[in-house]
Amino acid sequence: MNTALEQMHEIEPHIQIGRARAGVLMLIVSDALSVIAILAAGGYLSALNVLGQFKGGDPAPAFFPGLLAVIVLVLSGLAYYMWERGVRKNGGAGQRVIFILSWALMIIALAAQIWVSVALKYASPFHGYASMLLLLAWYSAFHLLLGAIIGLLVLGRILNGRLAERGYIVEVVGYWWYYTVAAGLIMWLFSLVA
Amino acid sequence: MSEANIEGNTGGAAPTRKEPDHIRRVLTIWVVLSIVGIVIWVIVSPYILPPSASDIDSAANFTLVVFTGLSIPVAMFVFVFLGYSLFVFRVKGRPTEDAIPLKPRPGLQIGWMGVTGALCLFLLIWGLSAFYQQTASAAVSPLVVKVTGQQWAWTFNYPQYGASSQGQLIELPVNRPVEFDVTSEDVLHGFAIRALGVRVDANPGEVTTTPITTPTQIGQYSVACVELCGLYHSYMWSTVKVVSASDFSSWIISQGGHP
Amino acid sequence: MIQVQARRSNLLNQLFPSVISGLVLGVIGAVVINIIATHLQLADQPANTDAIVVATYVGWVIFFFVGIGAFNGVWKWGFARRDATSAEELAIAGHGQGLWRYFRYTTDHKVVGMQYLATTLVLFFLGSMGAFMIRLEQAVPGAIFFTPSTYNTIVGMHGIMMIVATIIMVSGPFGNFVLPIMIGARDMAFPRLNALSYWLLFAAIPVFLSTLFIGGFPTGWTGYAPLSDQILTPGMDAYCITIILFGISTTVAAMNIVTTVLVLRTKGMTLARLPIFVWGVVLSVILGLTAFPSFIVSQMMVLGDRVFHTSFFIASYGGSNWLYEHLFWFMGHPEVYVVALPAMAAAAEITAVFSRKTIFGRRMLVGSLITICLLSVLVWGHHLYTSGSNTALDGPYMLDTELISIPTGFFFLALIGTFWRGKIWVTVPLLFVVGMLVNFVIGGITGIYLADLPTDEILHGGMFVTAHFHFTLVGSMVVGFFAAFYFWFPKMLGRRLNHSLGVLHFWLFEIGFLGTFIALFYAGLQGEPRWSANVAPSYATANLIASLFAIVIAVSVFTLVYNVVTSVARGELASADEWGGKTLEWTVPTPVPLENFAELPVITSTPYEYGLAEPADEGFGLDAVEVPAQEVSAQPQSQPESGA
Repeated sequence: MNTALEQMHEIEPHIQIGRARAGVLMLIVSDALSVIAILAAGGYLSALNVLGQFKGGDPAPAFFPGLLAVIVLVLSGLAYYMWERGVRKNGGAGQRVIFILSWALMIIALAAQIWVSVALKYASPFHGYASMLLLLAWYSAFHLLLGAIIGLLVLGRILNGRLAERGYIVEVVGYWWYYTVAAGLIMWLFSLVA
Repeated sequence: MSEANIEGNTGGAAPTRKEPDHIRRVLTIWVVLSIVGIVIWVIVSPYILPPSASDIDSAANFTLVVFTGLSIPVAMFVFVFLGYSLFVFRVKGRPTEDAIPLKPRPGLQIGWMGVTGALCLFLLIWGLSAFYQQTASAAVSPLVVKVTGQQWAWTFNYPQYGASSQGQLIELPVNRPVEFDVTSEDVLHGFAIRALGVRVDANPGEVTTTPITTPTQIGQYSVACVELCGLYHSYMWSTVKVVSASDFSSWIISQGGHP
Repeated sequence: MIQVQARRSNLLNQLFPSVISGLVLGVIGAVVINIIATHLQLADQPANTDAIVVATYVGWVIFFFVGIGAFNGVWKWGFARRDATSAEELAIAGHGQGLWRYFRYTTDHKVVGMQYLATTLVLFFLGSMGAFMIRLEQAVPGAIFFTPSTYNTIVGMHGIMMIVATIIMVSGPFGNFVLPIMIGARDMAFPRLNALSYWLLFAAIPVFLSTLFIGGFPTGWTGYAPLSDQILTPGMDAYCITIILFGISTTVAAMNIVTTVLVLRTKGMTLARLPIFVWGVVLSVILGLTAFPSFIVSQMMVLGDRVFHTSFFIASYGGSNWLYEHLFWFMGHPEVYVVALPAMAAAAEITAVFSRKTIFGRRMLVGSLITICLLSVLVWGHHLYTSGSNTALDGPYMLDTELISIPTGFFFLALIGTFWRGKIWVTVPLLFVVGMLVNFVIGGITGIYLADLPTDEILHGGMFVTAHFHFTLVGSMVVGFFAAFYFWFPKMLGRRLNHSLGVLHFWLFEIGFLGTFIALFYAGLQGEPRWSANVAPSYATANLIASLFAIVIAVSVFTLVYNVVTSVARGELASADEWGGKTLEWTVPTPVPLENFAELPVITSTPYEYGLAEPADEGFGLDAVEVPAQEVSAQPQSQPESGA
């Protein structure tokens, strides 16, 4: 019979997996709702066009820098997917190089996004349109920063060899990774049509 | 009825003491208290509600009276059942045995849903029709008063007469429909005239309109700000005087307009 | 010599990391960032005070968490050579640390529950001080005691502190302490995140209080833009950062609670056997999870407007205050149900215990709580009836708002039915439940007036609204908190509260409360606007009466404080099963051991099996089936594992 004290924090594997999935999915839902709130706000202000000043004569942002950042981000997601498939096939030991590639691409996307945000040449005080674009740009950058930090932590686990016994980490971090890619893509698309 | 079932189901064992019909008692108390409450409310309500000075305000006050009257039996239902239970079913100190479990019959649940649903529907229809009446029966060409809110005062304009108020007092002619077009110079304000039964927010960059209201009583009433707008929000009062048509014309002239 | 060294290193181990090191490092960090931010100001432009203030707050938060050791777990997750051992986990959970565990980043859910309880009581106390200052000012016409600026800040601080307190008051202390035990778990699903959610709240409090030193904020608790955008004082930034921190805290807590209930229920605890309290808390936090993101976004936008001169809410640059209203009320309305659901569920729990009777229509009650949860997300537009925006949607909003009264009605049916023909033991918790129901009827009915368009037209923005939401949030939900507090106090603190003082607290509070807010209903009917530093003479009498009754509320608060202090200091020790409840927390010893259960229980029934093994299928007292008296079976919900 297990005494209680020792049993306390040894949680059964299927519970570990369940809680990881539930936790990450809920965080994704919460974050997605904030993104939706921002997008809805943009649509609303655009429709209202208070005093005709929503755009205030500001032009749309340059197309290619944002496109570049998004492409790098999508590539990062694809690399993660490749790595995750490798992990599942080899039962816990994917090719770490591919993960490092995915992580590096995330960091490059972050740098690119910061460059995009800084390069938005709008004059302060910003009209509604420029305000929305700035918010989207920096919120995207923030997500990419979070992704980079999470990637760093996972890298630490890989390098210490502590990933193999917790395969579900690959899966749930994957959820967040793909979400970051999807959210970035959606925010970029929105900035094109706003 | 209940007693027959009690005896029937104890399978021949000695019948328990006759239990009073709690339901009948409690419903009786409820009916009596509700009637008393409604009567008291009908008598007292003119003293509680402020006098109304417009058609819309009268309608709104009437709605308040009706809704409160309806809610008295609802509130009494809860109070009476709770009070009765606490007095009749109370046990001194810690109980030594459990109570008999009760489950609601589907009939009760459906009935309850039906009654509450019907009440809901009533409130909804009343509210929507009152709202519709305001908009549908609105006069075609009301007197228009343009209101501008700013921190922390209202200014008024009568574009149809080319007049604007010079102070914190405006006048309106009695029995003439009036509509307020409201905007703000800076932050959100709330334009409200309780006695005339109208309010609408003053939003910067937008013009919003109150429902069309017709003042019915000559007298002096207050214009208040009802959205917190900073430091002197609670000082943002103006006065509106409802006067006869001729007094109104003279006032318009005194404010630099042409009648 | 060695002993002294050992003691010194023990002290160091205790002090670092702890709240002390967190505070110290947080202040240092704030000061450093402040200096850096000030020096980064561009020489040719006026200082961007808001940027400096926001940067200072961010510095405070980050370094506070470094100091309290929150990042240790994150770091170790990524870079440690091995997973934490059992002993290390237990140490983080507070094993062997005595009282000091309440002042550290402790993961034990019972510790977090007590921390939340203490913080809730502190927030209530501070918020009450604000309330009494408001009532003082409003007792006499004119702004006599405070300047209008101070008064507006007091109103705003009272509002936010009370809103935060009411959001956390049941889910924080009891959702943390009791809920895991109720489902047969040893802790929450994410113990470290549990500590995080608490300390985020803790870190937000100095941020919020600092507004007093940088000019306060003029907007009241709703923080409406564009008033919140006006660069009057940097005090508004404190509000925004507080909300963001609090939003993250509740999101993390919500995620933790839902995951816990999903994956850590003990064997046999199916969803059908879940205590009603668990349902209430879970539904509440799911609602919070949905509602808070838009609030956080709104504050990000306000900060953007203030610090970076964006124009989300500035009309002359294409922004709109309606945007703020939508973002705010999309949170603001579900938020009151976040407050309500746990209190309502706790009340149902308490009623069953003190009527010795199963909850009348338990499945109906669960269904009604779920319906309230779903409907409440769709009603926010009723706060915008008179905003002037888009009247086309007013009808649907009115419909949905009215509809919520139907499931609320089922809640009343369930509780009335539970009382009905029960064996009622009138304890202090039960008294507060009765008070809650009485006040909730009045609060709910007056909500109908506001939900209906024609009456909202004359009542919106007036004291009627204030009285309505005080009747619901305070008269119902805070009273529900009191009920839960008296109910679970013996389990959490191991002492008995004095019964007579509790009864006195109840009556003083109820009388004071009714007097205060009925007077304010009257003032609202007359047309008194909200947020009045300068009460107009025509409302003077009503306000004076309200203020006099508020003194009675104040006396009741001191009664509670006295009761709690004397109980903790020298009260009777409580037994493990103080009330004869059947939920799992009453089967564990008091004080509750670190691991909660010696053996995890196996569940075979709901915790409401009072009276019979099989609930008789009966109507509401009609056709009552009288069954011969049985042996009283004080069976708790669990059965011990057989064959250990």
